[in-house]
Amino acid sequence: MVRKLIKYDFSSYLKLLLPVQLILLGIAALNRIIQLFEDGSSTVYNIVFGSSVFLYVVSIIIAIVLTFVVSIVRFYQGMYSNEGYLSHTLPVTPTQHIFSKLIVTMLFYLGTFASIILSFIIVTLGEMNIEIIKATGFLIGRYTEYSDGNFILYLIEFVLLIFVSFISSTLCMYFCISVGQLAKKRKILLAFGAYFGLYIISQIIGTILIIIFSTLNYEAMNRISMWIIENITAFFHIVFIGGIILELVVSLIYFLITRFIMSKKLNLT
Amino acid sequence: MSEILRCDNIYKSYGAKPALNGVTLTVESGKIIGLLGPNGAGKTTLIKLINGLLTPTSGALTIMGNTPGVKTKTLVSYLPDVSYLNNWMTVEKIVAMFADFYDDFRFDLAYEMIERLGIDRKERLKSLSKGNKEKVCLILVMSRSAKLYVLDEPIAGVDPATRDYIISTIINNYNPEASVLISTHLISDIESVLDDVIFIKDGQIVLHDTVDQIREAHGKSVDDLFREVFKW
Repeated sequence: MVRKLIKYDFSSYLKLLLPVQLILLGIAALNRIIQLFEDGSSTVYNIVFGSSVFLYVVSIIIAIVLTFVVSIVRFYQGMYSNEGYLSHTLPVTPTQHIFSKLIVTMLFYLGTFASIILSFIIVTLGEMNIEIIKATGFLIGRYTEYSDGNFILYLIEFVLLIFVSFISSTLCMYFCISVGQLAKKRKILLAFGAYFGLYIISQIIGTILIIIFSTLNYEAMNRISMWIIENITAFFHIVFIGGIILELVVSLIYFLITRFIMSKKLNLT
Repeated sequence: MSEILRCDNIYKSYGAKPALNGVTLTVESGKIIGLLGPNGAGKTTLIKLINGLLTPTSGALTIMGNTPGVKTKTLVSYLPDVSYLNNWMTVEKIVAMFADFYDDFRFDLAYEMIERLGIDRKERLKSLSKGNKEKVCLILVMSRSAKLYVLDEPIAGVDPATRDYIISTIINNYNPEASVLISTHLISDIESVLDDVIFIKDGQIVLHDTVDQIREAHGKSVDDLFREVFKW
Protein backbone atom coordinates (compact mmCIF):
# COMPACT_ATOMS: atom_id res chain seq x y z
CA MET A 1 0.00 0.00 0.00
CA VAL A 2 2.87 2.41 0.75
CA ARG A 3 3.99 2.01 -2.86
CA LYS A 4 0.54 2.97 -4.10
CA LEU A 5 0.45 5.98 -1.78
CA ILE A 6 3.92 7.03 -2.93
CA LYS A 7 2.76 6.83 -6.55
CA TYR A 8 -0.06 9.32 -5.98
CA ASP A 9 1.88 11.54 -3.57
CA PHE A 10 4.80 11.66 -5.99
CA SER A 11 2.65 12.82 -8.89
CA SER A 12 1.01 15.53 -6.76
CA TYR A 13 4.45 16.84 -5.65
CA LEU A 14 5.87 16.54 -9.16
CA LYS A 15 3.10 18.67 -10.60
CA LEU A 16 4.10 21.48 -8.23
CA LEU A 17 7.88 21.09 -8.10
CA LEU A 18 8.92 20.04 -11.61
CA PRO A 19 8.31 23.55 -13.06
CA VAL A 20 10.45 25.08 -10.29
CA GLN A 21 13.37 22.77 -11.04
CA LEU A 22 13.03 23.30 -14.78
CA ILE A 23 13.07 27.09 -14.24
CA LEU A 24 16.24 26.72 -12.13
CA LEU A 25 17.95 24.77 -14.93
CA GLY A 26 16.67 27.27 -17.50
CA ILE A 27 18.13 30.21 -15.56
CA ALA A 28 21.44 28.33 -15.23
CA ALA A 29 21.48 27.80 -19.01
CA LEU A 30 20.68 31.48 -19.57
CA ASN A 31 23.56 32.44 -17.30
CA ARG A 32 25.94 30.20 -19.28
CA ILE A 33 24.75 31.68 -22.59
CA ILE A 34 25.33 35.22 -21.27
CA GLN A 35 28.89 34.22 -20.37
CA LEU A 36 29.53 33.51 -24.07
CA PHE A 37 29.19 37.25 -24.76
CA GLU A 38 31.89 38.23 -22.27
CA ASP A 39 33.98 41.04 -23.78
CA GLY A 40 36.27 42.15 -21.01
CA SER A 41 35.12 45.32 -19.33
CA SER A 42 31.76 46.20 -20.91
CA THR A 43 29.39 47.76 -18.35
CA VAL A 44 26.33 46.39 -20.14
CA TYR A 45 27.76 42.88 -19.98
CA ASN A 46 28.61 43.26 -16.29
CA ILE A 47 25.08 44.43 -15.46
CA VAL A 48 23.44 41.63 -17.48
CA PHE A 49 25.79 38.99 -16.11
CA GLY A 50 25.42 40.29 -12.52
CA SER A 51 21.63 40.19 -12.85
CA SER A 52 21.68 36.65 -14.20
CA VAL A 53 23.89 35.49 -11.31
CA PHE A 54 21.51 37.17 -8.87
CA LEU A 55 18.55 35.49 -10.58
CA TYR A 56 20.35 32.14 -10.44
CA VAL A 57 21.06 32.44 -6.70
CA VAL A 58 17.46 33.50 -6.03
CA SER A 59 16.14 30.55 -8.07
CA ILE A 60 18.27 28.14 -5.99
CA ILE A 61 16.82 29.60 -2.77
CA ILE A 62 13.28 29.44 -4.19
CA ALA A 63 13.77 25.80 -5.28
CA ILE A 64 14.83 24.79 -1.74
CA VAL A 65 12.13 26.84 0.02
CA LEU A 66 9.38 25.59 -2.30
CA THR A 67 10.36 21.95 -1.74
CA PHE A 68 9.94 22.59 1.98
CA VAL A 69 6.67 24.49 1.53
CA VAL A 70 5.14 21.91 -0.85
CA SER A 71 6.02 19.16 1.63
CA ILE A 72 4.12 20.98 4.41
CA VAL A 73 1.17 22.05 2.26
CA ARG A 74 0.65 18.60 0.73
CA PHE A 75 0.72 16.99 4.17
CA TYR A 76 -1.84 19.46 5.50
CA GLN A 77 -4.09 19.18 2.45
CA GLY A 78 -3.87 15.40 2.18
CA MET A 79 -4.39 14.67 5.84
CA TYR A 80 -6.42 17.47 7.40
CA SER A 81 -8.30 19.38 4.70
CA ASN A 82 -11.30 17.97 2.80
CA GLU A 83 -8.94 15.60 0.99
CA GLY A 84 -8.49 13.95 4.39
CA TYR A 85 -11.96 12.42 4.01
CA LEU A 86 -10.56 10.31 1.20
CA SER A 87 -7.07 9.75 2.64
CA HIS A 88 -8.39 8.50 5.97
CA THR A 89 -11.00 6.21 4.43
CA LEU A 90 -8.53 4.44 2.16
CA PRO A 91 -7.58 1.04 3.58
CA VAL A 92 -4.18 2.24 4.79
CA THR A 93 -2.79 3.01 8.24
CA PRO A 94 -1.63 6.44 9.48
CA THR A 95 1.91 5.01 9.62
CA GLN A 96 1.74 4.24 5.89
CA HIS A 97 0.48 7.76 5.17
CA ILE A 98 3.31 9.37 7.15
CA PHE A 99 5.96 7.15 5.55
CA SER A 100 4.67 7.80 2.05
CA LYS A 101 4.68 11.58 2.50
CA LEU A 102 8.09 11.49 4.21
CA ILE A 103 9.69 9.30 1.52
CA VAL A 104 8.31 11.50 -1.28
CA THR A 105 9.53 14.64 0.52
CA MET A 106 13.03 13.17 0.89
CA LEU A 107 13.03 12.14 -2.79
CA PHE A 108 12.18 15.72 -3.77
CA TYR A 109 14.88 17.13 -1.50
CA LEU A 110 17.32 14.82 -3.30
CA GLY A 111 15.83 15.90 -6.63
CA THR A 112 16.26 19.59 -5.72
CA PHE A 113 19.83 18.91 -4.62
CA ALA A 114 20.53 17.09 -7.92
CA SER A 115 18.99 20.01 -9.86
CA ILE A 116 21.22 22.49 -8.01
CA ILE A 117 24.34 20.41 -8.78
CA LEU A 118 23.25 20.05 -12.41
CA SER A 119 22.55 23.79 -12.64
CA PHE A 120 26.03 24.48 -11.24
CA ILE A 121 27.54 22.18 -13.87
CA ILE A 122 25.59 24.09 -16.55
CA VAL A 123 26.73 27.48 -15.22
CA THR A 124 30.38 26.38 -15.20
CA LEU A 125 30.14 24.32 -18.40
CA GLY A 126 33.41 24.13 -20.32
CA GLU A 127 36.95 24.44 -19.05
CA MET A 128 35.81 25.60 -15.64
CA ASN A 129 34.06 22.23 -15.10
CA ILE A 130 37.32 20.38 -15.58
CA GLU A 131 39.11 22.77 -13.21
CA ILE A 132 36.45 22.31 -10.51
CA ILE A 133 36.59 18.51 -10.82
CA LYS A 134 40.39 18.63 -10.63
CA ALA A 135 40.30 20.92 -7.58
CA THR A 136 37.70 18.76 -5.82
CA GLY A 137 39.72 15.60 -6.50
CA PHE A 138 42.85 17.33 -5.21
CA LEU A 139 41.13 18.51 -2.01
CA ILE A 140 39.61 15.09 -1.31
CA GLY A 141 43.04 13.48 -1.84
CA ARG A 142 44.72 15.94 0.54
CA TYR A 143 42.09 15.57 3.27
CA THR A 144 42.10 11.77 2.98
CA GLU A 145 45.86 11.79 3.32
CA TYR A 146 45.93 14.08 6.38
CA SER A 147 42.97 12.56 8.17
CA ASP A 148 44.35 9.04 8.03
CA GLY A 149 41.35 7.66 6.12
CA ASN A 150 38.88 9.33 8.51
CA PHE A 151 37.86 11.90 5.91
CA ILE A 152 35.64 9.45 4.01
CA LEU A 153 34.05 8.37 7.30
CA TYR A 154 33.48 12.01 8.30
CA LEU A 155 31.94 12.67 4.92
CA ILE A 156 29.56 9.69 5.24
CA GLU A 157 28.62 10.70 8.80
CA PHE A 158 28.11 14.32 7.76
CA VAL A 159 25.90 13.40 4.79
CA LEU A 160 23.91 11.02 7.04
CA LEU A 161 23.53 13.76 9.65
CA ILE A 162 22.19 16.19 7.03
CA PHE A 163 19.82 13.50 5.69
CA VAL A 164 18.51 12.62 9.16
CA SER A 165 18.15 16.36 9.98
CA PHE A 166 15.92 16.77 6.93
CA ILE A 167 13.82 13.78 8.07
CA SER A 168 13.57 15.22 11.57
CA SER A 169 12.64 18.73 10.37
CA THR A 170 9.97 17.27 8.04
CA LEU A 171 8.50 15.16 10.85
CA CYS A 172 8.65 18.23 13.11
CA MET A 173 6.43 20.06 10.60
CA TYR A 174 4.03 17.09 10.44
CA PHE A 175 3.89 17.14 14.23
CA CYS A 176 3.15 20.89 14.38
CA ILE A 177 0.45 20.65 11.68
CA SER A 178 -1.12 17.68 13.49
CA VAL A 179 -1.18 19.57 16.79
CA GLY A 180 -2.63 22.59 14.96
CA GLN A 181 -5.55 20.60 13.52
CA LEU A 182 -6.69 19.73 17.07
CA ALA A 183 -8.04 23.28 17.36
CA LYS A 184 -11.64 24.03 16.41
CA LYS A 185 -10.64 27.26 14.69
CA ARG A 186 -7.35 28.89 13.73
CA LYS A 187 -5.63 25.55 13.10
CA ILE A 188 -2.70 27.12 11.25
CA LEU A 189 -2.12 29.58 14.09
CA LEU A 190 -1.94 26.70 16.59
CA ALA A 191 0.49 24.88 14.26
CA PHE A 192 2.78 27.95 14.38
CA GLY A 193 2.26 28.02 18.17
CA ALA A 194 3.37 24.39 18.39
CA TYR A 195 6.48 25.22 16.35
CA PHE A 196 7.45 28.13 18.58
CA GLY A 197 6.65 26.02 21.65
CA LEU A 198 9.15 23.41 20.41
CA TYR A 199 11.70 26.17 19.75
CA ILE A 200 11.33 27.48 23.32
CA ILE A 201 11.64 23.95 24.76
CA SER A 202 14.83 23.33 22.77
CA GLN A 203 16.23 26.68 23.98
CA ILE A 204 15.44 25.77 27.60
CA ILE A 205 17.14 22.36 27.25
CA GLY A 206 20.18 24.05 25.64
CA THR A 207 20.40 26.61 28.47
CA ILE A 208 20.14 23.88 31.12
CA LEU A 209 22.98 21.95 29.45
CA ILE A 210 25.15 25.09 29.36
CA ILE A 211 24.42 25.73 33.06
CA ILE A 212 25.33 22.14 33.95
CA PHE A 213 28.53 22.43 31.92
CA SER A 214 29.48 25.77 33.49
CA THR A 215 29.08 24.37 37.01
CA LEU A 216 31.84 21.85 36.34
CA ASN A 217 35.01 22.77 38.14
CA TYR A 218 38.09 24.02 36.34
CA GLU A 219 39.89 20.70 36.65
CA ALA A 220 37.04 18.72 35.07
CA MET A 221 36.76 21.22 32.20
CA ASN A 222 40.49 21.00 31.70
CA ARG A 223 40.37 17.21 31.62
CA ILE A 224 37.61 17.27 28.99
CA SER A 225 39.51 19.79 26.87
CA MET A 226 42.66 17.71 27.08
CA TRP A 227 40.78 14.59 26.08
CA ILE A 228 39.31 16.38 23.07
CA ILE A 229 42.73 17.63 21.95
CA GLU A 230 44.28 14.19 22.36
CA ASN A 231 41.39 12.39 20.67
CA ILE A 232 40.27 14.93 18.12
CA THR A 233 39.44 12.23 15.52
CA ALA A 234 37.22 10.31 17.94
CA PHE A 235 35.68 13.57 19.16
CA PHE A 236 34.40 14.47 15.68
CA HIS A 237 33.02 10.96 15.21
CA ILE A 238 31.19 11.31 18.55
CA VAL A 239 29.76 14.69 17.50
CA PHE A 240 28.50 13.39 14.14
CA ILE A 241 27.19 10.03 15.37
CA GLY A 242 25.71 11.64 18.51
CA GLY A 243 23.95 14.16 16.27
CA ILE A 244 22.54 11.39 14.07
CA ILE A 245 21.23 9.44 17.09
CA LEU A 246 19.72 12.58 18.64
CA GLU A 247 17.94 13.49 15.38
CA LEU A 248 16.63 9.92 15.07
CA VAL A 249 15.27 9.92 18.63
CA VAL A 250 13.57 13.30 18.10
CA SER A 251 12.15 12.05 14.76
CA LEU A 252 10.71 8.99 16.48
CA ILE A 253 8.96 11.17 19.08
CA TYR A 254 7.46 13.43 16.37
CA PHE A 255 6.37 10.38 14.38
CA LEU A 256 4.68 8.65 17.34
CA ILE A 257 2.73 11.76 18.38
CA THR A 258 1.68 12.50 14.77
CA ARG A 259 0.52 8.90 14.34
CA PHE A 260 -1.45 9.06 17.59
CA ILE A 261 -3.21 12.26 16.51
CA MET A 262 -4.02 10.81 13.09
CA SER A 263 -5.38 7.59 14.61
CA LYS A 264 -7.29 8.91 17.61
CA LYS A 265 -7.70 12.67 17.40
CA LEU A 266 -8.70 13.44 13.83
CA ASN A 267 -10.66 16.64 13.65
CA LEU A 268 -11.78 17.05 10.04
CA THR A 269 -14.23 19.90 9.64
CA MET B 1 -30.05 -11.22 6.78
CA SER B 2 -26.76 -10.66 8.57
CA GLU B 3 -25.71 -7.87 10.85
CA ILE B 4 -23.62 -5.22 9.09
CA LEU B 5 -23.36 -2.43 11.64
CA ARG B 6 -23.70 -2.47 15.41
CA CYS B 7 -23.50 0.51 17.75
CA ASP B 8 -23.60 -0.17 21.50
CA ASN B 9 -24.32 2.80 23.71
CA ILE B 10 -22.09 5.24 21.86
CA TYR B 11 -21.22 8.58 23.36
CA LYS B 12 -19.25 11.18 21.53
CA SER B 13 -18.60 14.63 22.86
CA TYR B 14 -16.70 17.62 21.52
CA GLY B 15 -15.41 19.20 24.70
CA ALA B 16 -18.32 19.45 27.13
CA LYS B 17 -21.01 19.25 24.44
CA PRO B 18 -22.28 15.74 23.64
CA ALA B 19 -22.83 15.12 19.93
CA LEU B 20 -24.02 11.54 20.41
CA ASN B 21 -25.65 10.57 23.64
CA GLY B 22 -25.98 6.81 24.04
CA VAL B 23 -26.67 5.63 20.50
CA THR B 24 -27.55 1.94 20.20
CA LEU B 25 -28.57 0.52 16.86
CA THR B 26 -28.15 -2.42 14.53
CA VAL B 27 -28.21 -2.33 10.74
CA GLU B 28 -28.82 -5.53 8.83
CA SER B 29 -27.91 -6.40 5.26
CA GLY B 30 -30.14 -5.83 2.24
CA LYS B 31 -31.68 -2.56 3.35
CA ILE B 32 -31.70 1.08 2.36
CA ILE B 33 -31.91 3.09 5.55
CA GLY B 34 -32.55 6.78 5.92
CA LEU B 35 -30.67 8.50 8.73
CA LEU B 36 -32.89 11.48 9.29
CA GLY B 37 -32.58 14.41 11.60
CA PRO B 38 -32.23 18.19 11.63
CA ASN B 39 -28.89 19.95 11.35
CA GLY B 40 -26.73 19.34 14.40
CA ALA B 41 -28.63 16.20 15.43
CA GLY B 42 -25.51 14.01 15.23
CA LYS B 43 -25.91 12.40 11.79
CA THR B 44 -22.47 13.37 10.49
CA THR B 45 -20.82 12.49 13.81
CA LEU B 46 -22.30 8.98 13.64
CA ILE B 47 -21.20 8.64 10.02
CA LYS B 48 -17.67 9.80 10.85
CA LEU B 49 -17.51 7.22 13.65
CA ILE B 50 -18.58 4.47 11.23
CA ASN B 51 -15.78 5.55 8.88
CA GLY B 52 -13.11 5.76 11.56
CA LEU B 53 -12.75 9.54 11.12
CA LEU B 54 -13.65 9.96 14.79
CA THR B 55 -13.30 7.66 17.78
CA PRO B 56 -16.16 7.32 20.27
CA THR B 57 -15.74 8.82 23.74
CA SER B 58 -17.32 5.61 25.05
CA GLY B 59 -19.28 2.67 23.71
CA ALA B 60 -18.49 0.22 20.94
CA LEU B 61 -19.05 0.31 17.20
CA THR B 62 -18.40 -2.63 14.88
CA ILE B 63 -18.83 -3.28 11.17
CA MET B 64 -19.31 -6.98 10.48
CA GLY B 65 -17.65 -7.63 13.82
CA ASN B 66 -14.64 -5.36 13.20
CA THR B 67 -13.88 -2.12 15.00
CA PRO B 68 -13.17 0.75 12.57
CA GLY B 69 -9.74 0.37 11.00
CA VAL B 70 -8.09 -0.79 7.79
CA LYS B 71 -10.36 -3.87 7.56
CA THR B 72 -13.61 -1.89 7.88
CA LYS B 73 -12.43 0.59 5.26
CA THR B 74 -12.48 -2.28 2.77
CA LEU B 75 -16.10 -2.99 3.77
CA VAL B 76 -17.53 0.54 3.87
CA SER B 77 -17.95 2.81 0.86
CA TYR B 78 -18.33 6.40 2.02
CA LEU B 79 -19.57 9.56 0.36
CA PRO B 80 -18.84 12.57 2.59
CA ASP B 81 -20.89 15.75 2.54
CA VAL B 82 -17.91 17.79 1.36
CA SER B 83 -16.01 18.00 -1.92
CA TYR B 84 -13.18 15.64 -1.00
CA LEU B 85 -11.44 14.77 -4.24
CA ASN B 86 -8.23 16.38 -5.39
CA ASN B 87 -9.45 18.89 -7.98
CA TRP B 88 -6.38 18.80 -10.24
CA MET B 89 -6.88 15.09 -10.92
CA THR B 90 -8.60 13.94 -14.10
CA VAL B 91 -11.67 11.69 -13.97
CA GLU B 92 -9.50 8.89 -15.36
CA LYS B 93 -6.85 9.35 -12.65
CA ILE B 94 -9.32 9.36 -9.78
CA VAL B 95 -11.03 6.22 -11.12
CA ALA B 96 -7.60 4.55 -11.37
CA MET B 97 -6.84 5.63 -7.82
CA PHE B 98 -10.04 4.07 -6.46
CA ALA B 99 -9.31 0.88 -8.41
CA ASP B 100 -5.77 0.84 -7.01
CA PHE B 101 -6.80 1.09 -3.39
CA TYR B 102 -10.12 -0.75 -3.27
CA ASP B 103 -10.04 -4.38 -4.40
CA ASP B 104 -13.85 -4.38 -4.71
CA PHE B 105 -13.89 -1.49 -7.20
CA ARG B 106 -15.68 -2.29 -10.50
CA PHE B 107 -13.84 -0.44 -13.23
CA ASP B 108 -16.29 -1.36 -16.00
CA LEU B 109 -19.30 -0.22 -14.00
CA ALA B 110 -17.66 3.12 -13.16
CA TYR B 111 -16.81 3.86 -16.80
CA GLU B 112 -20.20 2.70 -18.00
CA MET B 113 -21.87 5.26 -15.72
CA ILE B 114 -19.36 8.01 -16.53
CA GLU B 115 -19.82 7.49 -20.26
CA ARG B 116 -23.61 7.45 -19.93
CA LEU B 117 -23.31 10.92 -18.38
CA GLY B 118 -21.20 12.10 -21.30
CA ILE B 119 -18.30 13.10 -19.05
CA ASP B 120 -14.90 13.13 -20.72
CA ARG B 121 -12.56 10.87 -18.75
CA LYS B 122 -9.62 13.15 -19.55
CA GLU B 123 -11.35 16.14 -17.98
CA ARG B 124 -10.03 17.53 -14.71
CA LEU B 125 -12.41 17.50 -11.75
CA LYS B 126 -12.03 21.25 -11.30
CA SER B 127 -13.51 21.88 -14.74
CA LEU B 128 -16.63 19.79 -14.08
CA SER B 129 -19.87 21.47 -13.03
CA LYS B 130 -20.92 21.05 -9.37
CA GLY B 131 -23.64 18.57 -10.37
CA ASN B 132 -21.29 16.48 -12.52
CA LYS B 133 -18.64 16.49 -9.82
CA GLU B 134 -21.18 15.18 -7.32
CA LYS B 135 -22.24 12.53 -9.81
CA VAL B 136 -18.62 11.42 -10.30
CA CYS B 137 -18.19 11.18 -6.51
CA LEU B 138 -21.32 9.05 -6.24
CA ILE B 139 -20.26 6.86 -9.17
CA LEU B 140 -16.92 6.19 -7.47
CA VAL B 141 -18.63 5.25 -4.21
CA MET B 142 -21.34 3.11 -5.80
CA SER B 143 -18.88 1.32 -8.12
CA ARG B 144 -17.51 -0.58 -5.17
CA SER B 145 -18.94 -3.94 -4.10
CA ALA B 146 -18.97 -2.82 -0.49
CA LYS B 147 -20.96 -4.25 2.41
CA LEU B 148 -22.11 -0.90 3.70
CA TYR B 149 -22.57 2.28 1.69
CA VAL B 150 -22.65 5.41 3.80
CA LEU B 151 -23.87 8.47 1.96
CA ASP B 152 -23.81 11.76 3.84
CA GLU B 153 -26.29 14.26 2.32
CA PRO B 154 -25.90 12.91 -1.23
CA ILE B 155 -28.77 14.96 -2.64
CA ALA B 156 -28.28 18.26 -0.84
CA GLY B 157 -27.49 21.26 -3.00
CA VAL B 158 -28.13 19.67 -6.41
CA ASP B 159 -30.92 20.27 -8.93
CA PRO B 160 -33.95 17.92 -9.05
CA ALA B 161 -32.71 16.15 -12.20
CA THR B 162 -29.36 15.38 -10.57
CA ARG B 163 -31.24 14.31 -7.46
CA ASP B 164 -33.18 11.76 -9.52
CA TYR B 165 -29.99 10.55 -11.14
CA ILE B 166 -28.32 10.09 -7.75
CA ILE B 167 -31.29 8.19 -6.31
CA SER B 168 -31.57 5.88 -9.32
CA THR B 169 -27.80 5.25 -9.22
CA ILE B 170 -28.07 4.22 -5.58
CA ILE B 171 -30.97 1.85 -6.21
CA ASN B 172 -29.50 0.32 -9.36
CA ASN B 173 -25.99 -0.24 -8.10
CA TYR B 174 -26.07 -1.39 -4.54
CA ASN B 175 -25.40 -4.98 -3.86
CA PRO B 176 -28.52 -6.69 -2.39
CA GLU B 177 -26.38 -8.29 0.32
CA ALA B 178 -25.15 -4.89 1.37
CA SER B 179 -26.90 -2.01 3.09
CA VAL B 180 -27.09 1.66 2.28
CA LEU B 181 -27.22 4.28 5.00
CA ILE B 182 -28.33 7.64 3.63
CA SER B 183 -28.21 10.75 5.75
CA THR B 184 -30.50 13.54 4.57
CA HIS B 185 -33.07 16.06 5.57
CA LEU B 186 -34.70 16.03 2.10
CA ILE B 187 -36.99 13.15 3.05
CA SER B 188 -39.73 13.45 0.46
CA ASP B 189 -37.21 12.98 -2.37
CA ILE B 190 -35.89 9.76 -0.96
CA GLU B 191 -38.77 8.29 1.02
CA SER B 192 -39.93 6.00 -1.78
CA VAL B 193 -36.64 4.10 -1.87
CA LEU B 194 -36.15 3.65 1.87
CA ASP B 195 -36.77 0.35 3.68
CA ASP B 196 -36.03 1.64 7.18
CA VAL B 197 -35.66 5.02 8.79
CA ILE B 198 -33.72 6.18 11.82
CA PHE B 199 -34.72 9.48 13.41
CA ILE B 200 -31.90 11.11 15.32
CA LYS B 201 -32.42 14.09 17.61
CA ASP B 202 -29.99 15.74 20.01
CA GLY B 203 -27.57 12.86 19.63
CA GLN B 204 -30.13 10.17 20.43
CA ILE B 205 -32.08 7.72 18.30
CA VAL B 206 -35.74 8.60 18.76
CA LEU B 207 -37.16 6.18 16.19
CA HIS B 208 -35.88 3.18 14.23
CA ASP B 209 -38.50 1.37 12.20
CA THR B 210 -39.46 0.20 8.73
CA VAL B 211 -41.16 2.69 6.43
CA ASP B 212 -44.18 0.37 6.07
CA GLN B 213 -44.53 0.08 9.85
CA ILE B 214 -44.38 3.85 10.25
CA ARG B 215 -47.07 4.40 7.64
CA GLU B 216 -49.24 1.73 9.24
CA ALA B 217 -48.75 2.77 12.85
CA HIS B 218 -48.89 6.54 12.38
CA GLY B 219 -51.09 6.76 9.30
CA LYS B 220 -48.77 9.26 7.68
CA SER B 221 -45.70 9.46 5.46
CA VAL B 222 -42.18 9.52 6.88
CA ASP B 223 -41.87 13.12 5.73
CA ASP B 224 -45.01 14.12 7.67
CA LEU B 225 -43.90 12.21 10.75
CA PHE B 226 -40.47 13.86 10.55
CA ARG B 227 -42.09 17.32 10.50
CA GLU B 228 -44.15 16.35 13.54
CA VAL B 229 -41.23 14.89 15.55
CA PHE B 230 -38.86 17.73 14.74
CA LYS B 231 -41.38 20.58 15.02
CA TRP B 232 -39.87 23.70 16.58
